[in-house]
Amino acid sequence: MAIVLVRIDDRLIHGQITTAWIADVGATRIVICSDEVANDPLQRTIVNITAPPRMPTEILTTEQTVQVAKSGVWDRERVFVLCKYPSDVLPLVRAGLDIKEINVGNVGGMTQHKGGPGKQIFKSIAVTEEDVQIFRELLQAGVKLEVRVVPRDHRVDLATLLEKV
Amino acid sequence: MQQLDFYGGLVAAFAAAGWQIIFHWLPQFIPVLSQKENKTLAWWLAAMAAIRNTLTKSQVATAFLVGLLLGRPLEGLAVGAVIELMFLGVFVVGASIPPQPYLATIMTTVFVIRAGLQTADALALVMPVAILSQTLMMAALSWNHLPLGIAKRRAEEGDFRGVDIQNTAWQVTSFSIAVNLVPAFIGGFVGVPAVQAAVQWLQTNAGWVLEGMGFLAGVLPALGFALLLYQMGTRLIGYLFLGIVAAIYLKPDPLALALAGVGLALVHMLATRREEGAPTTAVSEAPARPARELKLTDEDILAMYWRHWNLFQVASWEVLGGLGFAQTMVPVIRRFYKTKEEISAALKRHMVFYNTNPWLGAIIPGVLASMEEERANGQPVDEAAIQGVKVAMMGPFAGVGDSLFWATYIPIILAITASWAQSGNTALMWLAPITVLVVLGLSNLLIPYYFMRFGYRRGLSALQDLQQRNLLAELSTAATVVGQFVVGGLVVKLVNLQVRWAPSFFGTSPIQLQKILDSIMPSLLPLLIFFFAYWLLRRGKSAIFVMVVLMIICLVGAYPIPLPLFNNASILGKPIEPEQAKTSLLLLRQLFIG
Repeated sequence: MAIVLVRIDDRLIHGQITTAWIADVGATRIVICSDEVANDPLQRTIVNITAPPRMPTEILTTEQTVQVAKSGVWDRERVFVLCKYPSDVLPLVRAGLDIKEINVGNVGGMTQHKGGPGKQIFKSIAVTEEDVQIFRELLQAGVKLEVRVVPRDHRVDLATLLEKV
Repeated sequence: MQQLDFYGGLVAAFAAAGWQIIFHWLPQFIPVLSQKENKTLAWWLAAMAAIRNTLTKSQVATAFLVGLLLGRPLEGLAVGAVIELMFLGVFVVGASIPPQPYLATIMTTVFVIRAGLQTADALALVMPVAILSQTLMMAALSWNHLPLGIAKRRAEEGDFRGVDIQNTAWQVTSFSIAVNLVPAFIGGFVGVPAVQAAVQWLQTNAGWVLEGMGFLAGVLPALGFALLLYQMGTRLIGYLFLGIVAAIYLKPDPLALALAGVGLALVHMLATRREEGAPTTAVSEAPARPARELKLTDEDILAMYWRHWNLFQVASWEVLGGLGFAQTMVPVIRRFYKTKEEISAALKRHMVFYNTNPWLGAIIPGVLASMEEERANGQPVDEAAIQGVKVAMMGPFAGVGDSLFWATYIPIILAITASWAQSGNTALMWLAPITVLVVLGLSNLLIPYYFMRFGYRRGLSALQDLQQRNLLAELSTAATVVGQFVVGGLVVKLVNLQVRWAPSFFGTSPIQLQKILDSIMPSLLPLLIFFFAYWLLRRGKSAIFVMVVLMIICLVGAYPIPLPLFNNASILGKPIEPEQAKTSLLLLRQLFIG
């Protein structure tokens, strides 16, 4: 099966993930794919403390994620890839991983912490110029971008939200 | 049309938010306006917030209190228990707001008691009111941009008192009054006579609808439990089946079931403990901190603690709990920062996006207070480090907190007390809301307090402590084992569905279908309904969709079928008398032989 869900969520493994998404996609492994998280000892520690029990959870850089995904070790697993920022997804698509659809969860809540919030285009999504560029490139690559905060929400197409920007 | 029910509306409004205004909201202005703290008042405010939180989470307690105000507490309990079991697996996760049962419970209780209905008669109203609450809550998240804007300007001025006042002042005006108090009053005032008229019309024209709603009350707990199972996941589903079997063949009381669940969890923990796993040695004492000139006092921590209960009271889409977090940090800012620039910077950096589980997440302001203290004492802690810790902690800690407390610990307490409320045993019925208020109230009061103090005392070392003890993972696993076992047991105990139709062929004695089902396995139908509801949820259907499906099943089952074999009986309804069976036989003969 390999990768069953790719989600962009700057809150990482939070309540919506533990009480809804993991069960919904039947994940057997969680991969946090983010250069920032992988290189930050504090964030690594926190993910280790809070990872769901008995659920193998790895923190990889985008480069490592591409390597491992291509090596085929995930073929018998159902991997849930969780990216922190839109910029963490782009290398995966550029490297030609088989990603047809990306679930866009919480975006931009954290950019406020980095000085300057993005533009709010949906209740859980605020984007910067750079984010919009990335989303446009993903759309051009033929990836579907759907906004769903939790599995039972209505699917909203991010492309239509971007048109208003 | 009957008289408008002013008294009913008043009681509903008082229960919905009136008491909070008097006992919780107004006293907050004493410390907020004077900026002086008092330990007793701080505990009082925290206790009131704990009661508020307990009532919004427990429909049994809320309905009981409304019933008490109307002089019929036990009828209130019956309503509360049904709604409780419907909404067991429903809670706010992040910015995803589900239908809210709190207002619906208050309204339904008032309708049942004031309009003299059966609980089941008012069931059809629960979901629409819950959806109305959800809509109003979402609207509140939009209009709270206004107070957020004002607070941002106060922060710019370096006015921590202004920020403090904003979050306290707006919580009731924007949230309690608009979302709960006003609709509750209107609902009680206008709704009681309207509902009464509607039910009377149904009784005379379509009694089967009310009968079907009665069946629905017995079936709806299946939805609540299915939602819970969906959230806990199927990793430990073996314990669910153990719970089912235990309940069918041992018929334990709910509390015994929970105790057995705790026992199983302990056994599970021992059996799955890895040899090289969690270290058994005690965590070493924290390294002695260098003496600090500037320190937070106990009053400061308490001042943070009661403010922390206002975290999401003025939530907005833009920053969710950001404004509440800034208010939580006011005592720290007040203590350590003196110049306008410093205060302004601190307020602004604490007012950005914040969202976490308020029980476990209380550790975060604790840790941050400790870091701010270090910074004030001239240690090399910069703003970016403080921000980084907060941002890194809030998401993941919400993940554990939501699944451990929101999706497991609290629903177990609610389910057990709801089953007591439905037991028909008067002593147990009185015990149900009291237990909720004591157990859930104290949990509300003390668990976040413990985490906040732990975070402050240990600072960033708190993270190492948690890692060494493997505490959160152990707690989550244990809670899930108990949860699965109790859900399995309570599905059997609380979901109620029987086929009362007994067809009779050619004058033979009627065949009791339910007896045949029982001989296959007792509680077969309730279990089928439960797994059917779970299957629908796994197919991505919403809780409301599942509820409508269950309603249709019950209504069809209650509909009097105009066929000879049924003889105007329904599938779930009254069994056929032998006399009637003979009549249906005659009819059949006329049909086929002529």
